[in-house]
Amino acid sequence: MTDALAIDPPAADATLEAIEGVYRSRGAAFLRVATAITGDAAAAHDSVQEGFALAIRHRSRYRGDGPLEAWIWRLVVNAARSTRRRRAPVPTADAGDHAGPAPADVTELRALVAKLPERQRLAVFLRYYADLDYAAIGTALGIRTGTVSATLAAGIRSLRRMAEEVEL
Amino acid sequence: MSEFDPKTTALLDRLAPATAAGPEAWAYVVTRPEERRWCRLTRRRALVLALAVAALAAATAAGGVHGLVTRYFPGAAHEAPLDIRREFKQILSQSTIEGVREVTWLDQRAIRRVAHFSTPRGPYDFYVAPLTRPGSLCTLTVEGQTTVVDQWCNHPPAGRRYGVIALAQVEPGVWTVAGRTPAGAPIGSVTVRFEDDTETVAARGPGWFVYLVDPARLRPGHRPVGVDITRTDGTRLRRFDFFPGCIRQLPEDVHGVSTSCDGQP
Repeated sequence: MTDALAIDPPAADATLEAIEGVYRSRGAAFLRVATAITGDAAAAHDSVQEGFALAIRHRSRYRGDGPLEAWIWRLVVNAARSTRRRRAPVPTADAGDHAGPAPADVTELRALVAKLPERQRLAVFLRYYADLDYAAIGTALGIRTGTVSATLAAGIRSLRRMAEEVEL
Repeated sequence: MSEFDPKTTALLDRLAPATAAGPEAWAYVVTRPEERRWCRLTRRRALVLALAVAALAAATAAGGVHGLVTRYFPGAAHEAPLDIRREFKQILSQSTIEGVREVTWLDQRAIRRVAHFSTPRGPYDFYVAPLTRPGSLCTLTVEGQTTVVDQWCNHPPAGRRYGVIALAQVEPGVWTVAGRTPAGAPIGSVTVRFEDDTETVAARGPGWFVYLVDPARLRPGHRPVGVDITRTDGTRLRRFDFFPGCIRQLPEDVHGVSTSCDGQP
């Protein structure tokens, strides 16, 4: 593998300090993945908060059988997926303080990428935006590491085709 | 990363642009309550739910309880909807401070939804509007996401960069501690101190902070007594003190009337 990020080895337990450490060091990556999943900057902020709030409250459930960050990724990804399901599609805005409405072509891109099977889409997001290795992607998505490779390859192939069809 | 060709990379970057800004302050996360999901309404859950509804109805009828703050929102996102901006602009256009129209200092795009709370009267959204006048801050209580039911502004003396910290009752039994800070100040945290020598972290955004007082903190002996603003290196930047005796339950018939207990600037 690859130049993907090697995230911290499994921790014995998920202390508040350890969770805060992940938040502070990797917050921007969590936000970017959540933005890609929800399609909305405000909803992404909400999802990241929700995921970390769950991690704090359920930290005793973390068994230390995988990296803490990968466990948190699973919570954040699930929170973002739930948010996306609950919300009607909305135009995106960037994370700037005075963000305006998104240009129409971003909305079109989002609709295009939404055609990918969800697992492929999420694997691509985690790989590209968060630079996770296959094991961490597997933990985050609840699939075997061996499956990640094929899922990711299929997702990237489809995206490449889409990228060639649209004017960026 | 080699597996992504330039066109795919461009597509993904367009979809979720890289941003230097990370998520909001850690304080938002640790103060955020969990969203509870009732996946299946089992017999036991149904019983608990029925008992809770009955208890809430009884408490509401007695007028003795109000809902808790349900959540805080990040400061960078959650801009106020257009109708809220317009309504607030209209409100401010009708008032003056020392001969100057308040609306002069309004930057509508800076209005942010920062909290959501519930009372027996229903759910409310709470907004802050940092004004362009240094130290000035307005807050809005909004019902049903569209109607401003209460508005309160604070203007410190000219030349002050920190807003006077104030306690204001935005709804019966719902008190807030809010204030304005200079946008560029090296602030690490804003904490609210209580009579029982405990403290809690206030939610914070660029140029403002806010804390909706936990109902348990309204009892004598536990009320807010002040605010400390701390630098990123942990040293204290400012300290403000309140007179907690002004916190009291107002009668139900003064709905919508704000009360404030200013701190020392």
